[in-house]
Amino acid sequence: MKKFIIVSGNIGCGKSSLTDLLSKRLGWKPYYEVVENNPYLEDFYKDMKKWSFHLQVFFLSKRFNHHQEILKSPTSVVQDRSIYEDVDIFAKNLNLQGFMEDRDYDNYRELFNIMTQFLSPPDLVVYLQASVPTLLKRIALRGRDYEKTISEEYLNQLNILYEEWIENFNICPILNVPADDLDFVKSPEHLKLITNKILDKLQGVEKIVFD
Amino acid sequence: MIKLKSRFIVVEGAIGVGKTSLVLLLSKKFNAKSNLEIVEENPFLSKFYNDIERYAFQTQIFFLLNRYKQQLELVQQDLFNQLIFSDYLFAKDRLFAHLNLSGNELSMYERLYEIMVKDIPSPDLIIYLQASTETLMKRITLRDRPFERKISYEYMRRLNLAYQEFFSYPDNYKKSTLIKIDTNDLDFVSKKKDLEYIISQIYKEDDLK
Repeated sequence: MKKFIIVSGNIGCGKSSLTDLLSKRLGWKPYYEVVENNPYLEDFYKDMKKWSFHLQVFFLSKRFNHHQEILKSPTSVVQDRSIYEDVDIFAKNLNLQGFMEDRDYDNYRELFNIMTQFLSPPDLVVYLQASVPTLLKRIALRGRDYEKTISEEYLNQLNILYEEWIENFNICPILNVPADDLDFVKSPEHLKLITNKILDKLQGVEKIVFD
Repeated sequence: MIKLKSRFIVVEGAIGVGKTSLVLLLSKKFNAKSNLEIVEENPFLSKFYNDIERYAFQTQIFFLLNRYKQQLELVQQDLFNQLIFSDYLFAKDRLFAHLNLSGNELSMYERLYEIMVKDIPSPDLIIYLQASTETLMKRITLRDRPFERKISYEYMRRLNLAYQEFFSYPDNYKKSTLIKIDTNDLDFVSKKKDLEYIISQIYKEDDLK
């Protein structure tokens, strides 16, 4: 049967790498985050308060289409980052930081809830949990220019929101991966462990290990 | 009163034409339920008429969501056994969007609208109340809703035109029977015979499609 899993987690936790490795190992189709030209991005950076609503609604409508496309895909899919993170992590953070007014945030949330009720949930969310030092290390390692200004404080704030999100997430099963300890990029053993766990979860296997 | 075959009847028309008044009068006459649009709650509305460009998108999305939710509630009610009068058509939302939005905002709106409209019930009858822009402006001044004081003549003229255009394409209301009523010289709120006239028109067209 066709499966649809999502890899979630903070900036630098290894979402794209894991998506890539899993798709190769399982022979599934990878879907990466589309950073399509958001026509509001430039305005947003000039006046965040004024344009944050537009920015988020644009992302929402794009990601909605993407999610639907995935659901129609005839093969199994592993997706890098979910639509669900938009509302509870990124929009919420804008609101907390004062860049999105309360009524804009409420309005957006409501829209998000109505839109996502049309979407079938994925079969599994693989949540990569990493501490801020690990995130910083991995961000520095990949050396993306536009990520150079990301602060420790910002990552910390997002980490808090991620923890809250995953704790309350009940749309589908979750697999928690301690990404501080598991290095699936360097260690094939670790990757195998995660892959097997994912397959177990998807088949509904819960083993009790007695040792 | 002779019972109507129609189960879901919508009264439409531009701002100030008398939709809500007529719905209230009709639902009393026919002992029916009324489904009224919640206008006052939109937190953007008063700001919207002050600066249409700045708040248009937020206001439109807010309306879209609320109208969608209200229409879904309607479906969940017993549309088979209960006659319901409503003072707006869901498609009205899109009509206003085309008036207030353009470019990227409009295309984002369209994407969202298309997804939502699939769940919306179609009325059996639509009563379209017409009036000249002058008449509408007069009626708006008369009822004096604070958030409507900023509405300009030009805006009303464009809105009125948009309504006329909308109802000139049967594709826009294919599942419903349309009754057009010129209200320029009607006063159905205080004149009994004017209300009776509208009711007679409803009986005339009352047939399920």
